[in-house]
Amino acid sequence: MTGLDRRLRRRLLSGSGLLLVLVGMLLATLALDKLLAGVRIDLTEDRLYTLSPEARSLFAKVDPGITLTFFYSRTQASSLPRIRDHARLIEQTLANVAAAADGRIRIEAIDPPPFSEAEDAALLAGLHAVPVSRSGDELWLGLVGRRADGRQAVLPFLQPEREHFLEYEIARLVDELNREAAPRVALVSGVEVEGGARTPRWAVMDLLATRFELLRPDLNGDDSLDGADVLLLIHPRDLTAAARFAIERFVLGGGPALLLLDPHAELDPIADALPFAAQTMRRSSSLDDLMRAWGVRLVPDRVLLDAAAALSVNTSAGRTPVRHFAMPGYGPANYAPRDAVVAGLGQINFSTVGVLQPLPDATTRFEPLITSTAQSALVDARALQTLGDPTSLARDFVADADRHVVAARVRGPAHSVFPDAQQAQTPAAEVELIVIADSDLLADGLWVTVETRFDQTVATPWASNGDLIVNALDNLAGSPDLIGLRGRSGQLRPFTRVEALRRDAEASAVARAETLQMELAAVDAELDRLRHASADEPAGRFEDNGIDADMEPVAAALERARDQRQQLRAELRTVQRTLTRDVEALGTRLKVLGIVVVPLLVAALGLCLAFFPRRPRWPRRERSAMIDS
Amino acid sequence: MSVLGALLRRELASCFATPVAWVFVVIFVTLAGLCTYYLGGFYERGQADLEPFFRFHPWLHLLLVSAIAMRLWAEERRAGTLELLLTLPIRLRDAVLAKFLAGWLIIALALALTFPLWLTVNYLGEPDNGVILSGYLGSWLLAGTFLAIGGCMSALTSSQVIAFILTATVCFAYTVAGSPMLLQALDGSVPPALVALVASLAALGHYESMVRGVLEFRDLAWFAVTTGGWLLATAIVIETRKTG
Repeated sequence: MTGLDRRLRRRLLSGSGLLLVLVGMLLATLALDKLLAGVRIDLTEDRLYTLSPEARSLFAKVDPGITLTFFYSRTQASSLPRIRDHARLIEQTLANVAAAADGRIRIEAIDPPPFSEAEDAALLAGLHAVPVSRSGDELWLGLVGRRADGRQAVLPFLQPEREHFLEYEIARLVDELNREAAPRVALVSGVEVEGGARTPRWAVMDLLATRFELLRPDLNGDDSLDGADVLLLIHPRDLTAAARFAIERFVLGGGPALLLLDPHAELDPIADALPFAAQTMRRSSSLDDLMRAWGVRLVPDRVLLDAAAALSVNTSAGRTPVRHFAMPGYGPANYAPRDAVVAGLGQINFSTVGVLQPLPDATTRFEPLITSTAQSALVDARALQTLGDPTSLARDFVADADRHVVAARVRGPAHSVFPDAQQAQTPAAEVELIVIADSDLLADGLWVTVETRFDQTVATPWASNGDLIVNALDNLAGSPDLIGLRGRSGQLRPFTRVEALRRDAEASAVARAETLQMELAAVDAELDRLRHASADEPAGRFEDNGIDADMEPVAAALERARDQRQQLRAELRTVQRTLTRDVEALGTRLKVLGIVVVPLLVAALGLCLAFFPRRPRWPRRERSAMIDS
Repeated sequence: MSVLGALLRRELASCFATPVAWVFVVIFVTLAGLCTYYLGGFYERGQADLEPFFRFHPWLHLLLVSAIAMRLWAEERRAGTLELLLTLPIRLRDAVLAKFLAGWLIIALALALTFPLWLTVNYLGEPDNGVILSGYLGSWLLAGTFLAIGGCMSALTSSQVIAFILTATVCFAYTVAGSPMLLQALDGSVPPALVALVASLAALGHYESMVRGVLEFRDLAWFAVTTGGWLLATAIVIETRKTG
């Protein structure tokens, strides 16, 4: 074979070899992509991209036939990095859901073009789109869950702000779809929530009736709580032994319950009918023995006063609203950060709320859901009974240093209080409770406006009291896995140091600005006085027919005052600028450090290594051996 | 000492014999800082994560890895030392691996020297350090893939400049291959098999999921297969061009 032939053959071999390598790479990556799908190590601190064990357990247990359709306007989101990140998290979570459900849940994704059938379907299902540009482009980011029999549930818009609860919301949606019927809530109430002789039905009941099937067992009669999914116990009072037994049996049997206990129920109908002196005793809920067994107590005869959260209420027409220390309104700062029941809720308004405490020998776990501010204290409930002017509560108020718990989850093993009812009970049954230390929060006046228009009653909520009850019942009525699901910490991590700088700057700036404003006001007043003085003086002096020696100082004083004013205003402007000064200074320092100093240091390091070389020393023998061979 | 180890030390020694390698490192660190603070708006953004930093790595690697790779083989071929090297009783595999590993270690050094940025973000807030670690790993793996491509291009020619341009071009193709715009444009006019081929080249997707903190095994597999494939291609090219 000639050299040319050999070269040609070599070239051909190499060409085909390279082609083979290319094809091999393609096939191998495609194959491994399929094979290894879903196998991962999640290095995020909160395992954001992995389902929690409770969620995985929930999805593994669903009945087949559920489809989840993710409506996402991918094209509109191309310029919105926050939305893109969030959508990626949603897609990854949905993929994890499908994997956990092992084929029982199907996932679809749709990017609905404007004015398309897909968009109509989204609208019909109840999703919301959000406008993202001036030309009216809309962004869809919702989830529709559908069962084989057509029933559906939706998450209208998955807000990035609620990403901590993405897993929970999807789990709740699937759980709801998986249920055969609406959950059955057994209502046992010591206040007339469904309306009495002269009172209408409370709006919260209408709200609950839309989501749940309400049962009304007569526990003092023969009814039991069997068949209920959740117990809603409001202001229990004077319960017979039979009733308490039925309740305990339900709770110890694993039945979840939402308890609303109240140290001072303002709307207790029976108390209203009692002679005044006897009312206070009556107004407090009582479930002492059961509560003791469950490891929690409502501090007896005490009502919480909260100075920082006090709502402004109107006392009588014409007078300015006053802050009512016994009517606190709590918000996200007071809610447990990871619990889905309070997640995303706005303000919740309470009235004469009590305080919950775990008992020292409790066998259950006590998880606070809503806590008061530190500006709070406990006061005798009787003070509320004779309350005329709410401001009297503020007069002797002294805050204790504690934050008190007004709502909590209680879960864990507990024993029966009935001596002969040991039965074939499992030794320590698990209770699953949410306890709220107020029943008045259900009253319309604290959270909703009800109007009747053309024969239709329209309820417009302006606080989240109703949502709290719905969330709590929803959560408790769901599968046990759902109850155990908590939120994550999410992807948002602010620059805490910068925020601290900003807060400090604001604090000092605000103080300084207030001082300057006061000085400015004083100078303005002085100027006014001087101007009027100089107007009056000449009138008085003309009679003397001489130059008034006092006018000079007035003019000079005016001059001085005007200068002072200029100075103060300039100082105010400086104060405004200092608000951002510290933050910007830090930024500049860091940039110089990162872009100039560090590279210079690296270069210096390189120079050092160059001048103090530590080159690998090749032993002479080895080197020459290599060259000679 | 194993042959590979000895070769590796030779390579590192020759890399650092001139200041060139260190210049690359300094340039990488400077550009990384500039991109992060100015293009990425790292400080103004107010988020304690290094996404603005990692966002630019593919482009930084495109430039700098190409620059490191171009010297790997082309220089030796031009200087005539390549033939000498190949007559030594070493396996071709070791030679290819040694050069690759030397380049990869330099990139690792450059990445490591960006640690002040990591200190900065920890000073400013509480970032998820697991995610950052994953990002560094992803960046290193991506750079390794680019380096393997660059080595092959460098072996094809004796001109460093041509090697640089070829490397940058191919790496660029790998980077944009997965962009939705491109895939959408191809969708109608090109057979789906070809679209799948193009999509499988998408380096960015595999990189980005690591930047988010998830080590997907299929991403790791992609990097391993692609890097290994190009190293194999390099060996074939060297072997073929050894004679004639």
